[in-house]
Amino acid sequence: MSVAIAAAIVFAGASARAVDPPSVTAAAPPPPRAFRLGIDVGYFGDFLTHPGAVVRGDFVLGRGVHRLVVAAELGSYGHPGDYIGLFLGASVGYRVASRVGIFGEAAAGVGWLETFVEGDLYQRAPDGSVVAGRDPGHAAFMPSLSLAAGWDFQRRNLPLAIYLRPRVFWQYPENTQWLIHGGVEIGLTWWIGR
Amino acid sequence: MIQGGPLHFLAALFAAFSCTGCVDGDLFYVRSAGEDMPVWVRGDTGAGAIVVMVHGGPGGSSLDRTVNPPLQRIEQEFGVAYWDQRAAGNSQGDATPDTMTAEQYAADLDLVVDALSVRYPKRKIFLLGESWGGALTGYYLGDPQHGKKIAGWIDVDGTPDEPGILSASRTWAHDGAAAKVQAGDDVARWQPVVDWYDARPALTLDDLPQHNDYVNQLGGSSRYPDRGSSFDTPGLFLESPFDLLSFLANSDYTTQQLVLTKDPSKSILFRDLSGNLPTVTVPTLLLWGRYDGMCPLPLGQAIFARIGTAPADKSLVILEDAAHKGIIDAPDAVADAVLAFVHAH
Repeated sequence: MSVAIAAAIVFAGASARAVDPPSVTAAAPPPPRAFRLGIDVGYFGDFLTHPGAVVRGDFVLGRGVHRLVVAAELGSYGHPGDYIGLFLGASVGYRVASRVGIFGEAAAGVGWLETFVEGDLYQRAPDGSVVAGRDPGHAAFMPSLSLAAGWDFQRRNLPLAIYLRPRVFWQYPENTQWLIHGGVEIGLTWWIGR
Repeated sequence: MIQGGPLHFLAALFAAFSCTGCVDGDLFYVRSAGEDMPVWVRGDTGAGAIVVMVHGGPGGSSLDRTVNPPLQRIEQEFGVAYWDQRAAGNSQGDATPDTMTAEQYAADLDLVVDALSVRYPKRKIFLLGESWGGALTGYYLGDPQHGKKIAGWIDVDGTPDEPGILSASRTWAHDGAAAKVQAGDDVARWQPVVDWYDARPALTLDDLPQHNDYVNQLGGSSRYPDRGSSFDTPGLFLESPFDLLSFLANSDYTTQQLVLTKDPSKSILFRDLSGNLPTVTVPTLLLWGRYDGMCPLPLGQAIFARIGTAPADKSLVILEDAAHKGIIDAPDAVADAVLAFVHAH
């Protein structure tokens, strides 16, 4: 009996050994992709104090120290009593990441900025009278340069990162000139997948 | 009719922190020849009169005048409409160089006046021009059709006789420096100034920076430069819509387009806008700094003599302790005179 049991254990062990390699292989996670996708949601302040918000999609290529970031963003900010700006843009950046998750980034982008004056807008009608309405908007080209610093928590099994992103951007044309702006963004990145 | 579209809605939704209601008073815009210009109406708009603040420069701002005590005193009794001219202050849009003309500025002002009449019916409208704003309002009122819309003109240290400014200011600075030399007051400092003007019987645009510096040194810009500017008031940046970078960019652009032009003959400084002063018939209050070296007192006296306003309806008040910046130098005297004038008319 004991021999039979022992034989069964041995057989089972042998059987387990025989099937172990395939089962171990099946349970292992797939190798990480060479890129990651993230969604940024942040506060955007034109000159810090003119509040707004931005949503950005990040495509981060590379897993090592040196990474390439391609992003598309939609955002808006308001100067109370002055105007509201709505922007849509794309950027390419270079990111350096440390083992503990701290990263720095420099990026350049181009975009489109639509501004709307806040309040009623009066203008002359063809008959010379004055009519009021709302501003349909002014379009402008919006190149930008930005720096960013952040902390990626993915090593702590959290699919999140926080970041601070100061930037300068230009509005052209604004009274035929390039009008420079300074903006600061602080936000959260949510990583999609691994 | 101008319509807001889905983009406007999206922008407003996104910038949810932004709101017109965050700004005191009533702020609206006028659109003229490609430019959107803010008009910020504050104070007692139910009192029956609105004073339109027309700033100097060209390329200054009226919005930054909201922190100045004389305007705040006027707001306590009447409405004050602070208008930023094209390519100045918070104005935005597309003010192309061909729109930077005295004629277009006058058309813009006329739109502001008409918009105020629509938004605030049955209020009397007064114009308060400061420096270049005085020149513009004087030029505007030279059209009798414009004069019919205006209850009174207040001019602080500004004349539409632009060419007269350069010559009168040169004479003021030369004579001021010469008087110091004659009195033995720091001769080593002031004799070179006299020599500089002696070598320039007529000033050119290239001479302006040095000339302005000498006028400042002689106290012809402000008697109290230590009082600083509106920019020293934090509330201007934290509680008002005033946009400093827009102001700076616009100011530089306007200076280049209207004053320090590539073609000097096109500078507003060489254009006499005073030809129609005799057709100005509205009640007029001229406020002039005794020590104004930028736009000296004889120019104010000339306006007083030339306008067609009845003698009983015009007055020239000399601000005894003020230079060119009367609103800064003599806040109480300016507020007292303006309030009395508006009450009277």
